[in-house]
Amino acid sequence: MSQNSSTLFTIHLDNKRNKYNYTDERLMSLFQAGDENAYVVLVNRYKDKLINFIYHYLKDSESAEDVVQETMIKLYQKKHYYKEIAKFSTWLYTIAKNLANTELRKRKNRKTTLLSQFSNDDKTYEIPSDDLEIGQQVQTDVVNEIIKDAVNQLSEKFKIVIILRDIQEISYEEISEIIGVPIGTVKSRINRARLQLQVELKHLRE
Amino acid sequence: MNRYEFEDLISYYLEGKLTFKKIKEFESFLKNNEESRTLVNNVRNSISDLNRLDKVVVSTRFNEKLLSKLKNKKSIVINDDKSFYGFSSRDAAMFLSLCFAIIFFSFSLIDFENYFSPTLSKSTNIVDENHQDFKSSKFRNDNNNFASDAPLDSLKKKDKKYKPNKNNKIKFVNNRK
Repeated sequence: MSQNSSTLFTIHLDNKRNKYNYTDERLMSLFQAGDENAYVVLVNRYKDKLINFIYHYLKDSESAEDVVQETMIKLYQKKHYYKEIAKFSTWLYTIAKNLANTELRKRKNRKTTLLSQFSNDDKTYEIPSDDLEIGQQVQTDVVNEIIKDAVNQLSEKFKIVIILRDIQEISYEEISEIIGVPIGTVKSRINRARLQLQVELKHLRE
Repeated sequence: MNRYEFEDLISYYLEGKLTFKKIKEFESFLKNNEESRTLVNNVRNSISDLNRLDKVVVSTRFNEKLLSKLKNKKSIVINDDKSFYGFSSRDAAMFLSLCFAIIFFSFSLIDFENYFSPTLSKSTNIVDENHQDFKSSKFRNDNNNFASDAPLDSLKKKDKKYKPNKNNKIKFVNNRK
């Protein structure tokens, strides 16, 4: 164990050193055989995809990063639980989704309060700027926030399918395996979620 | 096509998953209904808004934090390919100890002394009684068939060899003619 751990901890998680162009499943079988470099490649491949998914699900970047870290740790610890019957991405997304659900449950039990709620300062400050690019960027940020809020308003079962399909661009079959419902149900939920979402978002164009 | 069927097909239409016949039917419904056209456009725009959302990325220190967490995790099992029928060694040990505990407690609940000795004598009594009942009924009801068929000498010989039961629980009924 000490030899394997020292190999891992001396590797620099640097994309320039990664020479593998293998499929995820091939990398996973190499990792299961003891090749720690394969684990590194998988982490670099999926860390941004996963955080994008978890962030939209939890709507909190810090918690999202913690969940992604936990997912990668589980990947390291439970590597031998993966069987090549399922796609690697499906397996990894399922782990991430379960950890995100755990985090959501913890939040509900914790009853956290936002610090902004303690502020009595309702003033808004306008800072004039002549830079058009900044103005456009701010507008884009505002629009993005509205879209994210609209997604967050959806129920849990609609939110997850919309995020996986329209943000992560994952196939219907994979979504069906990740959330564990039939493919027909996935399609129906996506359709209904889109119909609900367009109600929230149509005022953006008015 | 009614309104409900139309709404159910919007996503399929936008993703190009309808058959040619269904597309024609859908588009003819759209042609005659401005509200439906607006709805389809709104859904299309919502999908493109979601596609264009800024992608969130991990922090620059993500890998560093991950490495330090892996170092700190004491419960990492590198060679976890050893499993007993699908259970890890720790889970298998816990499961076995639980089984032994259940067996031990169930044995401690059974009172062996009272369980075996009184019922053992009871069971022999039952056997003896049954034997007695059988024999007595046989001798009473079936005397002609049993006792008479057997030669007298053999019966006597049997009587001689017979050792009486110490408990005196078996009683032979004499065949009186």
